[in-house]
Amino acid sequence: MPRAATLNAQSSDSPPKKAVAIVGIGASAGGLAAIKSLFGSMPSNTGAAFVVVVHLSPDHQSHLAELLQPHCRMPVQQVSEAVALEANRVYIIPPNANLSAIDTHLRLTALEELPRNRATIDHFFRTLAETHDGHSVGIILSGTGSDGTLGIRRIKEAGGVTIAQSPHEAEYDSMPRSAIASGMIDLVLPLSEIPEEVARLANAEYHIAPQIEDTPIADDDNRLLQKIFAQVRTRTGHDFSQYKRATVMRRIARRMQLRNVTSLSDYLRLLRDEPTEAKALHKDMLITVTEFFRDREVFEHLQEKIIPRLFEGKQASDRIRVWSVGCSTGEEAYSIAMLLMEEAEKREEHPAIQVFASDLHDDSISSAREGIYPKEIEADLSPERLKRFFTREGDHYRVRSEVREHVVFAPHDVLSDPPFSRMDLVVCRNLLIYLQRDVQEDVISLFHYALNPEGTLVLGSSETIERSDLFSCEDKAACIYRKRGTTSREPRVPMFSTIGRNRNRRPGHERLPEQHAETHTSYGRLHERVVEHYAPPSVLVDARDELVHMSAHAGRYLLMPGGEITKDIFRLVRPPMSIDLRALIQQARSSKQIVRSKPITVGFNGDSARIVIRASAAHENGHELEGYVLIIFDEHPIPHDLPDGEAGSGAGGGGATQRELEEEVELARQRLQSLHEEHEARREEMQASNEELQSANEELRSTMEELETSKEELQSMNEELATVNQENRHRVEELSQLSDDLANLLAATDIATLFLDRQLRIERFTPQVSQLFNVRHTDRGRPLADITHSLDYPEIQADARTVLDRLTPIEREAEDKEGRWHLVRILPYRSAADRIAGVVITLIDITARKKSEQEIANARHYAEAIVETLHEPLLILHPDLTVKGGNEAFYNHFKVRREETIGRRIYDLGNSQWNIPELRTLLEDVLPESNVFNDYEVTHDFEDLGHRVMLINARRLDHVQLILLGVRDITSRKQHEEQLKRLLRELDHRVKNSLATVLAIARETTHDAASIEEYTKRFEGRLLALAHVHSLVAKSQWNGASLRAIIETATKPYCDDRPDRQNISGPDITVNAQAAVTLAMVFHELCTNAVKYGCFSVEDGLLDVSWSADDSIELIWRETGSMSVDPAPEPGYGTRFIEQSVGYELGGECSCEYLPDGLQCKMHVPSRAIATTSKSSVEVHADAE
Amino acid sequence: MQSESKRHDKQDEQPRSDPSNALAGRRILVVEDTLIVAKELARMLKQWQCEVIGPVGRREEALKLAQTETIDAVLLDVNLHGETSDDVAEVLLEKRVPLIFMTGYGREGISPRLRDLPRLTKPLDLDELRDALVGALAKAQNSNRAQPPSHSSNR
Repeated sequence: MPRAATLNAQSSDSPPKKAVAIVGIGASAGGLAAIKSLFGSMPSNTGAAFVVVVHLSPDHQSHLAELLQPHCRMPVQQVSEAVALEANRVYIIPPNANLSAIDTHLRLTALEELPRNRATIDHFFRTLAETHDGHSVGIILSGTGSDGTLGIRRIKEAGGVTIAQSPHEAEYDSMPRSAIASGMIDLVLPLSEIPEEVARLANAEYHIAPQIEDTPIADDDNRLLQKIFAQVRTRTGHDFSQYKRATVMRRIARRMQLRNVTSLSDYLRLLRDEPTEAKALHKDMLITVTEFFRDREVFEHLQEKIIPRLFEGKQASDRIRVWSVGCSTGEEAYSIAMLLMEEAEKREEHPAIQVFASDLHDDSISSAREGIYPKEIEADLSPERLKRFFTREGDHYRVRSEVREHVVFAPHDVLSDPPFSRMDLVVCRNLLIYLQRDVQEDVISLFHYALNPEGTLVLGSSETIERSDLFSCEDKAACIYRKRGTTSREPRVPMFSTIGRNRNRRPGHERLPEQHAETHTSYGRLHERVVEHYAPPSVLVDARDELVHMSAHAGRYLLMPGGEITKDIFRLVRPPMSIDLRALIQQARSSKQIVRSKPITVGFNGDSARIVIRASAAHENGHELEGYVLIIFDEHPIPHDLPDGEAGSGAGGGGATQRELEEEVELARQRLQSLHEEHEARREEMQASNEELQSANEELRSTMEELETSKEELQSMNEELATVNQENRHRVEELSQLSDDLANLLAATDIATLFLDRQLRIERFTPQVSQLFNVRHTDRGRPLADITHSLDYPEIQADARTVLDRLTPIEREAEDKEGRWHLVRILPYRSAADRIAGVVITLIDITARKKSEQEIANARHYAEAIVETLHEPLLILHPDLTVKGGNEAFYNHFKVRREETIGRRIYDLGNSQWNIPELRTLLEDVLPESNVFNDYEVTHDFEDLGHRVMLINARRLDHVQLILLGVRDITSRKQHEEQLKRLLRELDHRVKNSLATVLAIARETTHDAASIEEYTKRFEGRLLALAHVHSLVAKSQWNGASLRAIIETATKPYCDDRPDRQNISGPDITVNAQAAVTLAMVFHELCTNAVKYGCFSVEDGLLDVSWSADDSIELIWRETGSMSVDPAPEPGYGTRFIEQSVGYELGGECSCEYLPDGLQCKMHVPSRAIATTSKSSVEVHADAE
Repeated sequence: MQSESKRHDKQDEQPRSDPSNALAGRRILVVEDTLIVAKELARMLKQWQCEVIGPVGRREEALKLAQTETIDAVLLDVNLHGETSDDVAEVLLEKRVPLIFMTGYGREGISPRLRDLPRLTKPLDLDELRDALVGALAKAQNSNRAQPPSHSSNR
């Protein structure tokens, strides 16, 4: 973390130009109004520069500056190139600009390829945090999404203050809410209060300037700081006194700025008064910024070199253990886990992966455990990794459980808790920089301990290792170090006993050097230092009396004894010295002083010398090194006469005495000699037992060491277990929560559920099951087959087995003995590992549904029956005009088959014969509007059925999404109507024709009537004849009349009471209507004649009418017995009319002749003239209206 | 109209007794299948000093007369014993002989092509008949005058 404040202090030395306070404002949807309102009430002299970023499409030409200016008392400027930052101005960053730095200027760089989904506001805040000193304020206004959430963390970490618009008043609240939820917002304020706060913050001086490292802090401040630490320690249990002063001061300064406090003592008072402030400060202290794959090159190096190395030489049964120290919210730990998993996938078999992630901050750990991150992490992760390792949950991403499983999170303080051990990789980035230098070293050696041989340590970019004897630098740029394989006995847990758990009581940062110095300073250095004072040859022995070092010339006093190589000083030193040496060393150790021996004569290869041995317990810096003793050999040459001189001095006393003395001496000498030998023997015995003891001791010692090691390992293991345990407890809590949820869910849904294992034995069931199955809790583990149930579903087991085999669910409906229906659903039970562990059977009471289904089915049958019963063709259509069905009448009438009809569009039916434009209009235009239409007449020429006229009714049934289409074929009705019309017209015609005839008769009659009386009589007769024949033909609908009937009708007035007067005979012939009229008129005239002159004029006159039918009709009208008429009358009008009529109207011939006994009239009429035709006499033209 | 009719006649066998009678001497074909009606018509026409051709009641006879006789105008029953008289009308139209339909049907009883020809509804009103005849003759005369002069040169 480069400290901008430090740099600034150096570059602008006199007078220190204060960087302008920057207020960064990020807004999105609903932001324009918020910004306008914000600047509307912002004073123009806050002294801060405002930088605004709004979400806009990069292609959009922003007019925000113009829009904003009228509302703002400060000049507003859209930034398009680097501009100097000045106070009391507003700068708008256009959407397509790439902001690269905010220091004294706003700097833009050439626009690169826009990163996908770039979170503009995050980027802006990051830039602000990274390139501007801490004097900044980040404000998040209305907007959707969660942009800005990651960025404000940076601002806060850099010492800035973060503000969010109150979500209650924000038009879109999700952006401010997301930021607040991250816990990184200092102030949540309504827009109206922001300006005041901004003005205050912008004017607030840095009362405590960020300390330049190593600059001593004033004593007063230091004293206050200690008190502040104490406050925080008592309130939160964490001690920050080991933290770097500069960091601590910056954090405190930030809190002071925020709380509007100007001095440390005031702040201390605040801390004492408000317990929450201590927590807030504690939280602020622990702000760390992290992101996925932060510092890409480091992770690339890890991915390419380090991670593959971790896998090398590991079996599937081995483990890769990684420790992420200071993991914060888990991004780093997950990133490493992802790299490891990616590498593992490349290998056929790979060791298990275990990432331990620890952090001091409980909140961070719990959020890391959740593994939920805002969607802006898209900017940090490749799409492949996003897809592979995350699941999208609304606005957020959740780490997939397969990644999560590899990472164990635990709250852990590297400074006080025992470390993890046997790690392959330790990643501790940007933690050391917060710690004081000497504590850093402690932590480094702790990592040394935690790592396996050849293990790798990754530090943050500004962290280095000074103790190069523990680690070698592997990659300077990426800050990757490797544990040195040291040959000497490795220091085990170096920090337990020293700073350990009682660290807090240790005053200041004083060091306890004993163990450290001993272990880490080499013997050589120690020795040499001592030798500076004592030039003579010397050796250094340790507490076990073994030689550990010797000076260059000390070899002269030592002699390699035969046998096994030994370092035992007593065996190495030349024999005469060994006794005295033992005593001396003993003495030196106990007295802690320099002790010296008497001169000892020692022979050197025939030569001899007197040696004075000095022994001294070893010291360094005034401290004793336990058990070490320095032995110095002072050599004094022997004067050659010395032994003689001694003897000589005695020789001067007297001969006898001298002899006695000599004898005595000799005796004494012998005694001494024997004593000496005895002593020597004893000594050797002692030596032997001593050696035995010594070796026993050594064994004990090594056992002790082993125990010690084991103990330490156990301790580490214990710590790890505690961690795992906590993790497990956490999971158990989650599980019990889940299980509660599940139990409640099952209870709430009231669904009987039965869990079976793969052998179909009962594993678990809900209470509702016992209503159907005879199960009790003791039945768990019993096969399903043993359990009786009241369902009419004998195949339930077979089905369950099928589900197990095929893994496809089965659903059935079954009735129980009480007549209730159940939906039985059998599903495979998939365990989390996607293994099939059995089946789940759910039983849902669907009686009500079944009942309503039955009712619906009944209603449907009823409706269908109605439809089928109708004579009228009926079609049922879906709204898209495909046919759902039709009734029999439809299929029969339109001669289509059911299977060819259903499911097709009505227009496509039977060669598109229903594709009738009028119908289309009705269905597509009319029906959607009105939902009903009635009796629309549609005519259409069907291929098979010919011309048809139809009346179409339709109903749109919206509740069932159907259209009923009734088709009534009215073609035949229409035809009947036409027929009727024609008949009426025919009638009209006939009436008119008849009237014409009547008129003609009326006129003609004038010519053969002599008087009015006669005229009336004749006209009446003719008219009646006409009327009679009309009623005759009318009976057959003008289709004609029988010849006999025509004749009988004519003769009726004369023969009705005397049927014997006539004889009518001939085959049955039907005469067409027109001919019937003609004939009727003819016979009428004949009758009139007969009454006047003929057979009807006399009592015994007789009429005989006979005819034969062939190609023509030959009819003979013969009157007899009328001879009284005399003379025979002239052929009159009547006779002429008869003859003419037959000729003119029937195309036949007629002759009347008076024979002596009466009239004979012969008629010859062609058959075709009287033949009836099937058609009506006049064609009515088709286009007649 | 009456003055024109003088110039129009082709056959002047009978001198007209009444110069105001436009029908005098005109040869009128009567086609009517009911004898008594036909007779009545013929009688009437004769009263009007027309020369009556026919009357005939059968289609074939009417056709024959229409083709062979020189006729000034025709009274044509639409329905002749169940047959239409359309082909007779066609022949007459071809010959530019004016004709008047007589029918008990309305307009619909007549073939569409012939509907625009003069038509009298049965039973006949004698004054209407006379006016229709006079009108048809005058109209025929007008249209014949528009014909090439050769037709009227012998006048």
